[in-house]
Amino acid sequence: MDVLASIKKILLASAYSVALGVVVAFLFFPKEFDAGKEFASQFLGLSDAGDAVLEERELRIGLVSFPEVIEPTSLDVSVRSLALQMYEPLVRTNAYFGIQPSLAISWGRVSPTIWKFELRPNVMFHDNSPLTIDDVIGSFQRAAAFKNSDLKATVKGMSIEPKGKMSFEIRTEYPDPQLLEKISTVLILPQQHEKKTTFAPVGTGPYTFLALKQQSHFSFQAFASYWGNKPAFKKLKISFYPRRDDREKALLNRDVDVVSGVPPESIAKLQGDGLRIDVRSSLEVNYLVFNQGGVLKDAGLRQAVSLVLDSKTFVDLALGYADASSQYVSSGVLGFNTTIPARVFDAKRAAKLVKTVSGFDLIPLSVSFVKGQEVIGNYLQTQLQSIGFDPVMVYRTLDEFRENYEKGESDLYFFGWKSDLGSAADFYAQAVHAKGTYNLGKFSDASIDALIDLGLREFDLKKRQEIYQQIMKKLVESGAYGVPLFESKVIYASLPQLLFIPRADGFILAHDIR
Amino acid sequence: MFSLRQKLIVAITLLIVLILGTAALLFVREKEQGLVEDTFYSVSTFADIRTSSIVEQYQQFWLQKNYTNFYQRIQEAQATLDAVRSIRLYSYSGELLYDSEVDRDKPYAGAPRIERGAPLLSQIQSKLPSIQNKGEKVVYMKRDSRGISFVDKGGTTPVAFDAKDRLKFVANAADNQYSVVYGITYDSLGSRIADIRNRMIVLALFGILLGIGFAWFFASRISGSINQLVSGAAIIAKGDFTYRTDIHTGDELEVLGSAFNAMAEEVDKRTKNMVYQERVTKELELAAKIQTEILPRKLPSLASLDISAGIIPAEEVGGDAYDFLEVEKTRLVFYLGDVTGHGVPAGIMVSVANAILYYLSHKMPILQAMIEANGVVKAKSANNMFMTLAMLQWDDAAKKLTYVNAGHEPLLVYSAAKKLVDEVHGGGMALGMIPDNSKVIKEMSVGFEVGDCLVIYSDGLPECWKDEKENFGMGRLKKAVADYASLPSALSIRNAILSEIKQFAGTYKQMDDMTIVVIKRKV
Repeated sequence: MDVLASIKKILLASAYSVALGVVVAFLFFPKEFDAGKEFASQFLGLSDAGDAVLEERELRIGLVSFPEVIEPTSLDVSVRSLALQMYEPLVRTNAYFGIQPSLAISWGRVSPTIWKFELRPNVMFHDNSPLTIDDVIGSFQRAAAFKNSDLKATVKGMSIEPKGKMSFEIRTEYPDPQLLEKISTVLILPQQHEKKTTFAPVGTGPYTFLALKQQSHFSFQAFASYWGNKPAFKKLKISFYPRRDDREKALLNRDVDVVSGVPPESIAKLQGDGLRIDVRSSLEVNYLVFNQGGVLKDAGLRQAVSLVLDSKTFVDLALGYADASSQYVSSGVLGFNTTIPARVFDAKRAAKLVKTVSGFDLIPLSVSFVKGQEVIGNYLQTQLQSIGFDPVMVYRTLDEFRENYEKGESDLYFFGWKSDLGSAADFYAQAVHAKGTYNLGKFSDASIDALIDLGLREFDLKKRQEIYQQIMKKLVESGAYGVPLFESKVIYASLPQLLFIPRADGFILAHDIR
Repeated sequence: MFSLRQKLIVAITLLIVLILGTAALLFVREKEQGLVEDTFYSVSTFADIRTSSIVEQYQQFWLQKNYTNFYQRIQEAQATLDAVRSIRLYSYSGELLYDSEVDRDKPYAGAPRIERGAPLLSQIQSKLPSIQNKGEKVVYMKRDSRGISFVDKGGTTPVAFDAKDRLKFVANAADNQYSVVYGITYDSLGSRIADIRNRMIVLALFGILLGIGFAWFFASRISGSINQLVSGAAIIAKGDFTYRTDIHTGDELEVLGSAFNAMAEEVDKRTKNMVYQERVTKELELAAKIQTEILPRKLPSLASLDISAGIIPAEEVGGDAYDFLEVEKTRLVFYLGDVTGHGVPAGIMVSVANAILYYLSHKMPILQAMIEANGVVKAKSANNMFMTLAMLQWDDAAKKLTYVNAGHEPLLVYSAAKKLVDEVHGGGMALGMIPDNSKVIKEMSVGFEVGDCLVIYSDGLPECWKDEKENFGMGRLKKAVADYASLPSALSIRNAILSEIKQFAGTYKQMDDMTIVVIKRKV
């Protein structure tokens, strides 16, 4: 009994000492207490090193089209959606285009064309190699030179010069107020991948690539040595549902947690099933571009094309999840001009204009589309036919589409521009300026080009906005560039218990979901 | 029943919880009020600084449909002060143009949201910044070098308002067209207070643990000592008086422990004394019994002699004895002896001597009997036990008294004729001192006429003390014999002498037996 009593005493004394020790540590040594708590959590396997990952279960995101490769320099929505889970830029944009530090911790402009950056120390790639300035240089060089890079125009004129172990300068050809927004699109990868065509995705981001199942999904897992706050979910699965029905089904079956590109016709059903629906502007305006060298070089015919297309129809085709557009950037984008009136629909006048040019002959018209836009194509065809055109709708692959407009083989191109950076600057620079890479119709207006050049160099936000609005007004009023049709909306569906705020740029970042 | 330790632990813990709890409550309340007041000043300053830029950005971005940009700036502004829950922009006429909580980055598409309620509309239209508290009281503010003062709508009459009140919103007019209303949240304050509260709880827990520890420690000291005392009492109750506590607490408990030990020692001593006393008493009783039994039950009755004898035994019975042996019809042998020591051993020796002398007296003359008796006493008694003896023989036919003395007190003989008391020393040596006393004792005749009085006594009479310094002494004894020898009977002489001695001694303790034999010759 004495032995039992002694053991009981020892146990009580030990428990008392431990309790007192814990309380004293909590009160008087909070840092050490937190460190000890963290260590204990790790020791007991409750968390990985560093901040705790909260959820053991997998976060499942559903997107539309399965990407061929994960290419960091691609701006394709599907590809970038994957790449952004694993790669990071020097600076990132938040949900509302606000610039935030990422792999660069500070920056400043030392001269009108020189920005100095400080690289974040102790950042590791997924292969546990450290991030260096050479990796930054290599990433920018890939963005500029890789054959399939969509960032060539973005990084055009930029050069990087190291200024120490962790600092470097980015030099631009001209004072660029949009530099930070531009470099937020350049994802950083290891230097040894700079020139490779295929490689396993290795970035610095919160998730590492795990596996892929062709035409189905990609799997990721949380990166244990991530420099920032750990994601809330240990595992991530991004699946692809090209068919609208499949997206609806996946949501109803709870096979996914968040989906973008929800079909409008599914909204009521999904809401009835308890899912949360968010609708956001896609920041993308779809429009027709006139080939300046084709049959539509005639102003009257151009006007006829504009008059015969009813914006309301496009809204109806999108079941209300689109807005009629009278200009080339979406509302919410810097440069949107509220003074520009709605586009006029007048089919009769359109027919008269065509007749004036062609008499009773049908005017052949070739219209180039990317595959998947047949519904719009059918409407265009009907309308153009009704006023005296003989339209031929051709649906092409992306590469074919590019080749077609580079050769100037069609009269009309159905195109869309997403203002990823929240500003009309890149649209003007790349799609309107005579030197623009995406100036499909070879539009050229010296005064507009001059304004574009001025706006691209204006640091004062208010003045810049005024210039961009002025450009838009001129572009629309000239009627020579094209016909703005509609701006689409993106519909998201998510589980109500998730904290998910759709980003203005339309990408779903797993790291932001709680 | 709850132990002392448990009671102490509960009491101290409750006390600590009470004290800490009260202090914590007061502190948290003070802190909360302070934070609420800080929030008021932060938000009103925020409103002052931000209002015009918000309106400017509204005009530059929101009205230009650059919703994202505008919302980004609203978010940035709100990020600088977490107490601002919402930012609402109103037109002068009260139309809600923008609500950061509802509209966010999408334009409102519905019927105009017109604020018609009196307090808010007044606030929107006032040039003075204003606040509304949770109780929907509205006051306006004026800022000057002395700080913020609360006034009425007219800006003149001071209004009582406590900055520690929780607010619903702050309204600031930007210009003649717009006003901005800032909704206030105390969530972060709530979490800070919760943090403080949690710390207080942990502090209370700390206090409780400390209290338990201290209570345990002190209770252990107290109850340990008490347990020692309780155990000690139980052990002592079982008769083991050697148990001593070992308490060194430096306080009353140590005093109690010392007192307990002293008590145990005292009890031990007294018990031992008691046992000893009991043993002694038993011994004394036995000795007294022995003494009583060997004394003659009946004094001889002779025509020529009036005999009286008696013993007043001391508390601790001594070894006095006397006997009268009618060895023949006309020969009476009598003796008075005193054995050294007290108690049973003396009693046994007296008993043995009595038996020997009885036997020997019937067989031989008294001198021979003394010599023989000495040999037996020497051989059979302890080395330190002796017996003084005065032995006499009365030959009633010859009317002759002979005497042999073995170291005893001298006889006192009163001569009726001379009216004097004579000491008759017999010499000799006490029985048992030497193996053969034949050379040291002798038989002698003692003149004993009619009317004479013979007193044989033990040393208890002259050595009867009245105090530490003075005893009765031989002088007084001889005088007493002289005074009372003429009394008519031996008994009266005996009683008078003893009475005088007793009177002399008073209440002083009688240290030795007082034995006296008085013989008066009648014829």
